[in-house]
Amino acid sequence: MPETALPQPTVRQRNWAPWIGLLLAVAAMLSNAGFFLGLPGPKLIAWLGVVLVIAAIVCAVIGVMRAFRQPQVYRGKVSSSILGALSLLICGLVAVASISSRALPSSAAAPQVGQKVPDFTLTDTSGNKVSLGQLLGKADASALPHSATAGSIASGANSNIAATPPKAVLLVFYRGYW
Amino acid sequence: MRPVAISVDTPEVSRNLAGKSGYTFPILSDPQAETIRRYNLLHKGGGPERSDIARPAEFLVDTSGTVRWTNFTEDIRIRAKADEMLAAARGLK
Repeated sequence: MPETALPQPTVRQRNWAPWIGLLLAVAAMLSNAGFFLGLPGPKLIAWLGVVLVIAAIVCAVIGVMRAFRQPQVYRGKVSSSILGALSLLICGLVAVASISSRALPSSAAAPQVGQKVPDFTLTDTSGNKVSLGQLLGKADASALPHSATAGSIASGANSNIAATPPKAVLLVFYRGYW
Repeated sequence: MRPVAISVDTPEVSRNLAGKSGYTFPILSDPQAETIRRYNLLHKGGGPERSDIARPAEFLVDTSGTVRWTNFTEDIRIRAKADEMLAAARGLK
């Protein structure tokens, strides 16, 4: 039998899309660091994260589709599958973090500009009861608690409270559990 | 303008926070979230182990008890920075 020259197999292309997809997914995860670093434009950072996640998923899908539908052109059935799964996992985590960070109650009935705030009496770090009225410097500012603790920071703050009533109070409600 | 921080943290926890961060303003405790509820800021199950906490919000209140500025964050990762709050306070004087 004469030896038939086998046609030279075309060298298949490197399948870059799955790698790019993984890179984008990692970038999306790192973009969350932008919030904690206090970088300017946090809303932009949030949208950047969304864009990166979408781009990552698109690249991962393209990579897998190329490997499986055009195997004669693109390599990497196994690698694209693994990288694709990894990218989807990372994107999933980023998406969950983003969604839960924004899942806040509407607070539509909260005090709005022009309305009076509800009064309250709450306990401060020294265990003393403090009312909104006292904080606003009204009636009996001298009754304000002076810190019994040794910390100079706390006593410094309380001596300021008794001396000059503020023009305004900024109520900062926070989540706690820091 | 005097900042006052309020959360469900107990005074002990808040004391640690104040000590570590060097905060000099009053930090008040609302462990049953009663005041938080009255301000319509309750985030049911929003805390660790599904505990009830406040959603983040700021109110600038004048001496008559009237709100002059509010900030309700839509994203807990995005915090109003101190300089933004102070600018709002100065702008209203």
